[in-house]
Amino acid sequence: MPKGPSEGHEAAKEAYKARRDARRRVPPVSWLMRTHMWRRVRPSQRRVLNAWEKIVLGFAAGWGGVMQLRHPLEEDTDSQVADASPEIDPDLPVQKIQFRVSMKLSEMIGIAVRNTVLSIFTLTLYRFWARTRVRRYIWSRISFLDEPLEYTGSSYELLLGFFQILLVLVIPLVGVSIWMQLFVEPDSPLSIPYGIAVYLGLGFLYGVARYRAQRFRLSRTLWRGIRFGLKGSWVSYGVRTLLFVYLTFATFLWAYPLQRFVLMRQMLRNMTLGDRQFQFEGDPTVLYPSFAVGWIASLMALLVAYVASAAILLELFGENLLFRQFPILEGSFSLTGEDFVTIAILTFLVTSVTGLVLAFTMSWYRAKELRYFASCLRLDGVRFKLRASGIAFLRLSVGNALIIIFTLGFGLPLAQMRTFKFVFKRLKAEGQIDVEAITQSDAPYPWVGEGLAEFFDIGAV
Amino acid sequence: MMSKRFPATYFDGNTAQPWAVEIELSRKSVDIFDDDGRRLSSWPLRHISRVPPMGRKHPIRLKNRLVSNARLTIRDSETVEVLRVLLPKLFPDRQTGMRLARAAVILGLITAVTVASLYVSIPRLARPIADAIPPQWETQLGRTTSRTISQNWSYCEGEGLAELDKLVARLTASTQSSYKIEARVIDADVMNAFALPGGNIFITDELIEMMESSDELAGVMAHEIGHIVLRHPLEGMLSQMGVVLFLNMLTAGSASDILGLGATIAVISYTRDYEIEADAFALDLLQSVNIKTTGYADLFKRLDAIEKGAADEDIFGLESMMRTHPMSDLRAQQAAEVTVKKPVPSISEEGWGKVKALCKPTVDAPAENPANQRVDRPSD
Repeated sequence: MPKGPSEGHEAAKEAYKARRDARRRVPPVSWLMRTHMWRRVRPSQRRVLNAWEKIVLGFAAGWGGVMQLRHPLEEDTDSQVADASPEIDPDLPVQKIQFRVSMKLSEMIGIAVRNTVLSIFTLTLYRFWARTRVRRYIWSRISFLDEPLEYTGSSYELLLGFFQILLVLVIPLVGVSIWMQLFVEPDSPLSIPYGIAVYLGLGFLYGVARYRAQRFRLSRTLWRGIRFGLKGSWVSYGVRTLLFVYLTFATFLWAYPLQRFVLMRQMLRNMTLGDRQFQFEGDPTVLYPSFAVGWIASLMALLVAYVASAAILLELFGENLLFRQFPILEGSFSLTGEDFVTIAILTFLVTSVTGLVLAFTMSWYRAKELRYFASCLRLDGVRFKLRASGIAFLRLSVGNALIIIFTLGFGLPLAQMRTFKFVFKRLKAEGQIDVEAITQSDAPYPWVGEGLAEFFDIGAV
Repeated sequence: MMSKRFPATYFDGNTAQPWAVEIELSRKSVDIFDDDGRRLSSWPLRHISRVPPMGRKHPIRLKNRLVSNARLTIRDSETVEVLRVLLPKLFPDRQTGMRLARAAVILGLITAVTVASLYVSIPRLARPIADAIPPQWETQLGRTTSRTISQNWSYCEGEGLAELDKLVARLTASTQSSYKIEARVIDADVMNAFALPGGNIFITDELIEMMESSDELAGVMAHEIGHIVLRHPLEGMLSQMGVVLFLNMLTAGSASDILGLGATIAVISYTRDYEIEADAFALDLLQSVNIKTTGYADLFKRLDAIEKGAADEDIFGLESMMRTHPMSDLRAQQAAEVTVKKPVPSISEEGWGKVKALCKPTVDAPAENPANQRVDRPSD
């Protein structure tokens, strides 16, 4: 280690502070509150007031968020990055970077139990605190170059992100949809553009939710005092997601590897660690042989599974199972409670059979995808390598599914922990990088987060 | 005098460079010095907190609330002991089951109070909101809702409809209402009558079947007209929608089925108020147009008996609990108290026969919807 900060370092510090202050927006309400009354308030009360202030400001920010929505076209770094290979000093030593994972099942079970109890008692409102707790734990148990990651986000940021989207998006949309249902005739000309807008909007927002959630999580990930980040435009990610969702359906899923590749590339290319940007280069056609095998195997396995389970059902319930209990087949659309139960059970059976079959047939493709994406990734001179076999991936996904089913969903943190363990135990990095020259990030730092992902139920931790 | 300095690692939050530093601990602050003895930073104790991982074998990592990304890592055990004395809040006790239970109870109470106040306030807000909604909207709303009725049940046609219209016209002549009130008979398996926002009244053929006189029909119609004039259907829809929407939003839609049931239960207590209001309205109305109210009393007495019988069959008691017309006995008493001096029959004998004949299968009647023939409900 060097003896102390140099002069150049001081300059960098000043420059950083100037940048930070320019970015930092102090809400005027907060400032007024403090000047007038702050000194009379006892410290214990200050914490409560602080929390309330955050909630009140969050509602205000919900509307403020509209402003942000209006200027979403931040610089799209995606196009610039492709040919901007960083210059690497050839004298730098090649170093091997080991990722260390030290999560313990027992500790995570403790967290999961606590979260479950409190979530039930608060009708799921505790979920923001629960998620923060899980993330703090998982992040802190992943380390490389002897320094753990740190999750710096707070529960209030998630809560406010939720309220923000509630105000800006969900309440107006629910209003519109109620209006359409009640006051617009189904055969009116308005209902066609409305339907199209709903489907396009959902695809777009799904992409946006993923990108912005990822941006929030990365901006709250600290390593050696340096933030990760996600640059680029969520608008273009949303549009791409939308286009690919329909393309994938239209091509009977054959566009799926391309979709995964393009979206992953956009996400990873825009990822930063401090002032360094990750690179991602590759060729989606590499994924197609294993996808083809998986696709054909899935098709055959699904046919066999459906026929077999239908045969079992008929054996158990007799021939009139469908016609007696499925009034839609009788030409009537008035369903009783019993019908809904039947439909729910059948839907559950079909989804679980499909999920089980796909877990088996697609694991090899998923593992291939994971390995390939890791090998496409680069940070300065460092390349990544992930060792993951189809069997290992199958063990991971089936194990996770069992955990979630048998804990009625409350074991989700355990499944998430297994996923993180899986990736970081198998990930290796090697190459030339001057880690100590990395300086603080200027990637966007959203001040609340993940509201949209909350509504799309995007489960990644 | 210079106090003792301890070794530590410092990340300044500007670069990824780990600095080997010495720190000086005092009652006020932690001061960070580089090897040349220059002070890099001074962290006031009250702004210092600890970041996870917090396990025994993990080094202590400190952060300063005022300097967002800087971190100070302490591995030396002697330093840790001094810190333990200076800043005991950095070394919290382990979480125990008791503390979890206390947190659960407190948070549970807060949630319960919030939800309870919601259940109380939303249906109360429904009335002023309903009052603010123009009748044209309500009519449009009723049109959309009655479309779903016509999709699921078939309307009964026949000469009796004209008699029914005459009765409605007689009942509504004196009420000032901005809605065009219209009654229809539907072919369904249950005994029920209900009103939709905007003036549509539906009676099932089963209910007409069990009526013994036209005065009973007049009573039911007066009751439903009461609901419409007092805008109960709209208020009910608003409050139910409000509770469901609010709870769904709070839970991000994760528990909508359970919450839907909760909303029904919440609204049911208000429905009782609506029933009492509509009863009072109906008795007034019957009195003003000189129709005997004994029919009203008789009908509800018989309904009560049927309801009791159904409750015996209904194992969970759920169906009778969810009934929106729960107080037949009380009603019959009230109706008996109202006297009409010169009663006029509500419908002529001949007309009543025609009404009763509605929905009766005749030779040239069209084939019925097979869904309506399915007999699998205890109420049949």
